[in-house]
Amino acid sequence: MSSNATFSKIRAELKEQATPRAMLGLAALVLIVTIWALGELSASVNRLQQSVEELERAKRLEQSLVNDQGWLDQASDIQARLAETQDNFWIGSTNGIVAAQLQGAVERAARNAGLSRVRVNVTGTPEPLGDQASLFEISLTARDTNGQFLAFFQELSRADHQIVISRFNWRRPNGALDIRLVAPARIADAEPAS
Amino acid sequence: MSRRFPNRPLSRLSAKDGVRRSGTPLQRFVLGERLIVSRALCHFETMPLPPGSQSLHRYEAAKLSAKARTPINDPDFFFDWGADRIGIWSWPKELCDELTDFEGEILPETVLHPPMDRGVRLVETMDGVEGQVWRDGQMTASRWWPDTPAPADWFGFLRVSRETEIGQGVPDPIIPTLRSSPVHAQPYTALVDRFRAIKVRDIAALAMIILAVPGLFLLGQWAQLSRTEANVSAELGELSEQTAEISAARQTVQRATNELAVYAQALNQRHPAALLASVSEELARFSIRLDAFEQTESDLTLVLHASNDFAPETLVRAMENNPLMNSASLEPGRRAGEWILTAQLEAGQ
Repeated sequence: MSSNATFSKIRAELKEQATPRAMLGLAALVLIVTIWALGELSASVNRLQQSVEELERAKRLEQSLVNDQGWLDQASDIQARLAETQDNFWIGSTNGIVAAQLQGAVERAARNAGLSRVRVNVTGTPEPLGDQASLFEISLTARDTNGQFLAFFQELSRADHQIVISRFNWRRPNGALDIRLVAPARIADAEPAS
Repeated sequence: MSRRFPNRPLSRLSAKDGVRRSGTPLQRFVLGERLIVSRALCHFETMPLPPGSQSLHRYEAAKLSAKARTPINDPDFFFDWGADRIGIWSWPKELCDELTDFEGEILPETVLHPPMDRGVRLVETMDGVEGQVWRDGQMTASRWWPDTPAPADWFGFLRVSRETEIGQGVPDPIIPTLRSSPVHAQPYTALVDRFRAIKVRDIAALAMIILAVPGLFLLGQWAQLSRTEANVSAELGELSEQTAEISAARQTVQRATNELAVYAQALNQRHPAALLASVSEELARFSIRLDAFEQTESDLTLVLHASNDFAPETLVRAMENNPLMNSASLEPGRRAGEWILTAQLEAGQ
């Protein structure tokens, strides 16, 4: 059978089956598919539009960067400031080593300040501080009979690296002293601070 | 349905040659086709206008009357609506049955002839000649002959048409220039027939257009946006290469700035020594003893011991004026002479 004859036969069969109800169903189907396709096309156009807007924004940013050499200067300045700030951080190869350094430093400061019944506790697991550092929390309880906490403040300021007082509670009647301290540190393979 | 485009294809249906279609199928579909039926195939009659202005009843009455008058079994009609008469043109509907994909209007050729105000004339038509009698701008009688009629036929026609100005003999046939539209406009009631002539394929075509228009619009937008996106991406790529070093520096600045901001937020705490010094100075002015001092990140709580002549309002005012704190409040403690002062610390050092 030739292809023309086959085609004619198929066409005749289709014509025979094309009853009004079948045509109505086909029209409904085509309508649904068309509306769905229009919706998809519309969503695609919206996505494309957003993408173009983002690209345009990025392009404008890049164009503003082309003639702005100030970023290079700013980068070196701010990197220097960051390094200077981080130089003040405690440093150790593990959290435990840093915690031990802090324990020793705070106890030494309390002892030098003349506080009695000193109890120092350093959290073993520090909180993250930015991307490059950690924040250790230290609690100190002691007896302060004669305002030695002022000397303790001075001793803390003489510590090798930064220690910040976050909470301070002092009661004159019983001399109870309860201080919370925080200390920034960097965990890195480096010579531990003395 | 007829379409009224000025340059639509003009096809002809002649008794001798059959149908001669003009234009391509696409042109005929898009612009609409006008089929001119030869006078040889048409029947013409006139009748007085039925009473009733441009009403639907009058229109339907005219159609019924036309159907009753025509000798054709299954006729198609064209009505030439004059001031007080209707010219009824009819032709066998079957003549157009074989036209495939016909979209347009069918007109007898005579209705496109230029009108006369009054008189008789012999006009050349597609398949012969036509004798026409006109009165008051309306054709009142018509007869077709395959060739120029013999005088007897001509005068017979004039006699039947009750034309008084019969002239000297058979006039020479004139070659008319066809008008672009019939002389008399169709009444608005003829729109009813237009609506009745709407077929399923017309509705389907309309639906397709309604769906295709937003589809094509969106497709055009999509194509344009795709091209824009490609162009901007390419430009961005070139710019990125040029600004690689600066971009890296900018990112470094942003990262370092964020890092420093985090450090400042965590480490820039107000030192209790500064606050203690300030508070002690104030309390000394009021001869108040400080029994307890508690400072958190944002609050300050003091336990004070004051003498009996202590004025709480004055102390609160003094504390409110202190630049290191705000929202100070004072309340009595449990023991005699004991007061508890609370305040919020000002942000920053």
